[in-house]
This record gives sequence, C-alpha cells and structure tokens, in this order.
Amino acid sequence: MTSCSENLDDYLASMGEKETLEIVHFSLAYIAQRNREISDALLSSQKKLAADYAHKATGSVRLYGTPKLEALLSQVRGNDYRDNEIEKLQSDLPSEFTLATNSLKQWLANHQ
Amino acid sequence: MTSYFKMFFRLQCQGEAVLGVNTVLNSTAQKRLLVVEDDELLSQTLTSSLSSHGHDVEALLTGEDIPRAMERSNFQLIILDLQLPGRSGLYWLKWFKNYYASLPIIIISARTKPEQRVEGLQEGALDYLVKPFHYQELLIKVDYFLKQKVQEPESSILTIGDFTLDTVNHFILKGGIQIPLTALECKILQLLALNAGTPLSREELMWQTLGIRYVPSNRSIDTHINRIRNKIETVASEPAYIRTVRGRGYCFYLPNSVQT
Repeated sequence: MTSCSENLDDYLASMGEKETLEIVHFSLAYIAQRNREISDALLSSQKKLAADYAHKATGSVRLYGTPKLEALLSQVRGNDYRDNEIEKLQSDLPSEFTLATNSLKQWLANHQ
Repeated sequence: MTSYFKMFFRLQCQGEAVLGVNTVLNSTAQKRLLVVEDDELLSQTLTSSLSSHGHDVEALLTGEDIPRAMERSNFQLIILDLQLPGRSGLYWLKWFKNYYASLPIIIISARTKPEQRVEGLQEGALDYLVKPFHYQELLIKVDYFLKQKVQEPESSILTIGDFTLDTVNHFILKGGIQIPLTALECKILQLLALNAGTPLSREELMWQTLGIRYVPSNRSIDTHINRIRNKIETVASEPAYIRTVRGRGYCFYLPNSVQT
C-alpha cells in the first residue's frame, strides 16, 4: 500500500489541485468523525455499531490511512478481537487516525 | 428471498449483452455514470476521479434515489455499493437487471467473502471490486466496460406460475394466448414479482416504476393493478397473484404460497 502523500500526489496529478484540495479538506472532517464514532462505540461496548462504522471507514482508508489503520479497521469490522483487547484498540485506533490527520495536514502545508 | 425468488422464476435472456466478445474501439469519453455509494468521502473521491477522467458523473448517497435518477438520465454504467442504507445494494442490483438488463454494473463492496462476491456476480454485476481499492483500479475497469459493445436483449422471459412475461416486448403468455401489456403494467408486474411476498405501498410502486413521488397519496395505481389482474388472474375478483393488503398496498404471491 502506498503512503497517504503518494496517493494524494497521484490524485493531484490526475484530478488537479482544486479537486484534490477539496478531498483533503473533506477527509480531515471525515477522519475526525469516524474516529469519534468508532471510539465511542468501543467505549460503550457496542461491537456491532463499531463494526458498522469501521465498515464505512474502510472504503476510503487507502486515501488517507496507513496499512496499520486499515488492519485495525478490518479487525473491528470483523469483530476479530477479544474483550481484553478493546483497551488496546481504543488506544491504537485514535493514534492511527491522528497520524492520518497529521499526514493530511502536512500534505496540505506543502501544497498551499 | 433470493433462493425463494429463483425457485419460481426462470429468466431466459435471448441475445444477451455480449460483453467481452464484440469489443469496439469507441471512445469512452463523455459517458454518463451513476455512482451509488453512501460513504461521502469515497463518493466524492470517485466522482472527482471519474469526472477528471472525462466522464459525466451523478452520485447518490442512497439507493432510494435510483428510480428518479434513472427516469431523468440515460446512464451508460453504474457503480453500486452493496451496503446501503434502506434497501440493500443487492436489491437495487436486481432492480437494475429487471428494468435495465443490459446496463453494465460494477459492484464496490467491503464484503470480502467469496460467496458474497459470487452472489453479486450471479445477480448480474459485471465485476466486483473489494474495498478498499485504488481509484485507478476502478478507472481501468470503467474504461474497459465502457468500450464493450452492449446489445439490448431481443426478449427477456420471466416464468411466473401459469404464465410467462416478456419484459422486452410487453406481453404475457397464458394458456397459449398472448396478452399485451402496457409498458407501465409490465414494469409494475416486474416490480411486484421482484418483491414477491413483501407488500408494496402504492407510493412505492409509483416511485420504483416511474420515479415519481405523489404527495398527497395517489390511488391511480389501483387502475393499473386492476388491469393487470384482469390479464393474469384466473378470476380477477378473487386474485391469487396480486393481493390487496389493507393499509399497506399490494403483495405478489408465488403459486405455492397462494391460499385460495
């Protein structure tokens, strides 16, 4: 899987600056929302809801995320974790979402 | 309902689309595409990348808007998510195959199990792209399918109980007699059959066949239903196929579930 910045550079070359910047700005709000939804669902032990949100986040994860984030979302989506692993997920997922956010912001800083 | 449906309906398409056989080198530019995807970010990304590739793209976040979009525009290819709010993408795939049999459809889905992919392909999708995917994967597939020559079927026959329905030429064959249907009657009958065992409201029938929402509720559909009953029922006043469900609308019953 290519990095977030490589993907965005691809988009930039293919779609142009305006469209790509729009997508990046949209992604920042989107990532924050998905992070919040999945974290809240895990915190309240609503595995099905967490799986639904992770499912939704999966479609576009390659635009902004790392392979680790993709793997974590797959784990949550497939209920592929034990109760004693929830705490680690609650820590790892926000970290990866934060990494994704920082990566997008860095890309924006380099292109504005 | 899928297996239930398949038990009683036999779709015989003659002169089906010969995709992958008669490839022509027509340009794929300026084709009108419909993207049905409820993930706003993915939808926006797909729309932007397809548009920048020269396509005219309309994006829907829910399947419920499909009938209206299809009434308004002439699309050359559909990109359809399987997991949609409300009716599933699989339902809409069957709906498309009902009314637009030769329209190429690419499924995009996070469902990775082989049987899920097979189900989508069996229902008529040309390809199945597993999420997450790189947008260029989709562009390549879109370009490939848009270059294929699509032939409209000469006829498409549904066998339903003691009659057959030709959905292309709009007639039923019952007891050796050919009985013509109007295009709308044919569409209504197809929709009822697609939803066999599930009541459909008058509004839903109008919406999914004409893409029109009547507000306030309109009962003109009753006239069409009565005409269809006169054509398919043995005794129209005692309908076995299309039953009225009080307060709900109409429900289509398959032969072995008919209670007389």
